[in-house]
Amino acid sequence: MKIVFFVFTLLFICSLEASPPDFEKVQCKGVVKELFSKNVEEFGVWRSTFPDSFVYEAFRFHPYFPTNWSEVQISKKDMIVRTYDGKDLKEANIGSDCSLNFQKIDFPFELKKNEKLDTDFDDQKLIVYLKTLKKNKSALFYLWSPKFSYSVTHYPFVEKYARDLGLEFIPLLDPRVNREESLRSLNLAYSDFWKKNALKHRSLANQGSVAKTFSMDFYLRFGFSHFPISIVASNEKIHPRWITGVMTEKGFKAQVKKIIKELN
Amino acid sequence: MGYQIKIFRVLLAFLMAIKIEAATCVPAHEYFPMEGKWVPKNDNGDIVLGMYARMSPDGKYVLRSFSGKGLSQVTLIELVRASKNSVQVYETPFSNEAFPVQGSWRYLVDIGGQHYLLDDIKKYQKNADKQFTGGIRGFYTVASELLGGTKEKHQIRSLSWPNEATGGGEQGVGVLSNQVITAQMNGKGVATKIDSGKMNYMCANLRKSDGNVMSLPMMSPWGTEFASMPQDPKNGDPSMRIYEFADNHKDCRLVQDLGLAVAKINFSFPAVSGSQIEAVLFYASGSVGGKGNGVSFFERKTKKIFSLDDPDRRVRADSYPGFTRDGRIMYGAYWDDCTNGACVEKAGYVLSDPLQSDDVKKFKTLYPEEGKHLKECITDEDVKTIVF
Repeated sequence: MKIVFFVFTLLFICSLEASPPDFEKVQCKGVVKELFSKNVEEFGVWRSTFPDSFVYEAFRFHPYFPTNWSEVQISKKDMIVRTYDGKDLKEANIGSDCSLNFQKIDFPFELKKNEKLDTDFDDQKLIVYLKTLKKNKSALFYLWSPKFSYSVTHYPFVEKYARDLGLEFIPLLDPRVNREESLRSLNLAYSDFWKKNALKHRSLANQGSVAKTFSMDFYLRFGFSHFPISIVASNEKIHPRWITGVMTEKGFKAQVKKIIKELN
Repeated sequence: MGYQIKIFRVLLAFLMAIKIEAATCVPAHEYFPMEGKWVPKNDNGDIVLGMYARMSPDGKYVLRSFSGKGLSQVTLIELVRASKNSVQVYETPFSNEAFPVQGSWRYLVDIGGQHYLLDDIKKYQKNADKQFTGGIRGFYTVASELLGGTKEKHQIRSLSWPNEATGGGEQGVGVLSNQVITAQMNGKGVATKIDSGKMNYMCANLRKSDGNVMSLPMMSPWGTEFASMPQDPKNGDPSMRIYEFADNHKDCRLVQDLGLAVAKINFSFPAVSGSQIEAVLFYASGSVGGKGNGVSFFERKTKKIFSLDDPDRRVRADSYPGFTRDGRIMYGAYWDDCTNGACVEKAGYVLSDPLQSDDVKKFKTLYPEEGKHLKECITDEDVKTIVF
């Protein structure tokens, strides 16, 4: 049985390829290559993403900086391009004459329909903040929601891990939920499950704990598809790999250390 | 002779009527609004759905986690089909991301491994008594009843990262593990655990390729496959991958790499009546462009990703979806309820037939050969044949 497993694994490794779009094969490749000239390894990574439909192969460029997002949906007949520059989300179809006509499109409902306070977080704040993160200065954005209980119960733990490693801990709440209720669930989880541990490390339940995130950048990093999501930034950059879910202290710290090393 | 022909014609008409009735498609989408004083609301006054939701194989129940006020942390929601669909809510004694034993839904399990009967939760709600305690205790535990079990005797595989409290110690750091317990039920309907099984630390055979931090585990309904996303694979980017359990319960065989970094996925049931597609489901939050409704599924034969949609209702999915036994997809969502052009936003649960989605229909038109295993729709008859 082990031999069979080994052979399958070997076959799989041999068949693995990186997944950037093959712009050599697309129509209007000159226009496309110029359009994506900044979407190169130096600035981020291309990854496969959700296609609009089975007819498309979809790729998204995950940048180190929030102003350099691109997504492309490629079919045999057409190509849809989407960009986000830290402010506007735009879409264009590449026509048969290779023309590009970008139009602004709506933010997803998760971001646009919920009320926003001045104390909440968005990409303007993210861009300014990242520029303060010089070499070897790091931060951990912790996206949490009472919709995912682990993200509540593990909140104080992750804050401790981040502080142990010298990172600034920036908790950001799911914009779709009730602030007061979220704060209450955080306190409840705190007292019910983790009182002994958590009291050693922090004073919970401050207003900062319920600042909501309206960051399109974090949405594009799939920060709203699960909670918690931990996103690490350092040296003015966000790492395109994020940490999904909770894990034990050793596993979590090992992941964060590796990401910080890669960013510096 | 004329009399016999008449009887024959009547019989033929009757049989045809049965056939037509048997071929009646289920609605492409069914909506069950969540309404009542108890529903949690956000700062806008909108209803908040629990994103971490588990769907029962008969399409009747949702086990929903949400740390809000008004209800217990985990609630069992029953979809009530009537002239005006609604939901019935049952509180539970569970906490955190409690989970069902997939496949049969014979038990609902709290994160400490306490197994409760579904019927007891409905009858006694928060005051229900557990039947027994067993299986893995750890982050993101999932469980499935192994195929071949009976009401009297059955095996349950649980899968998780055991945490230190379970005695797993450092081995629990990101190492997926599974445990198979055996339970029996007596004539009075009381279940007991008769074998605790043992902890199996898994996938050491894949450590050089997939790394040793496997996140977001999810298991197939009968516990034969599981999905997980290696956080730091040695052979590429983190992506959701499907693996098969080896007979020794320890080794893992990579079956399919979905090539996407996504949240937990959910498996369809193995096809038995031909109605089901063999697929895994995604909650597609993170997509832009307003296409689809937030639920996508990877069809395993064509290896294509299809999206669900109901553009008339502007559906926006807001929970993890799940497959029913007959192949329908169930999920929490927001939608527009419109009368004479005036629309009201509703929140609740939706049951959709993926075979009737525009994307699947388009695929069948463009690729009739590759799409011939995909039926026109799930029928009422398919739904009736569910064994639950």
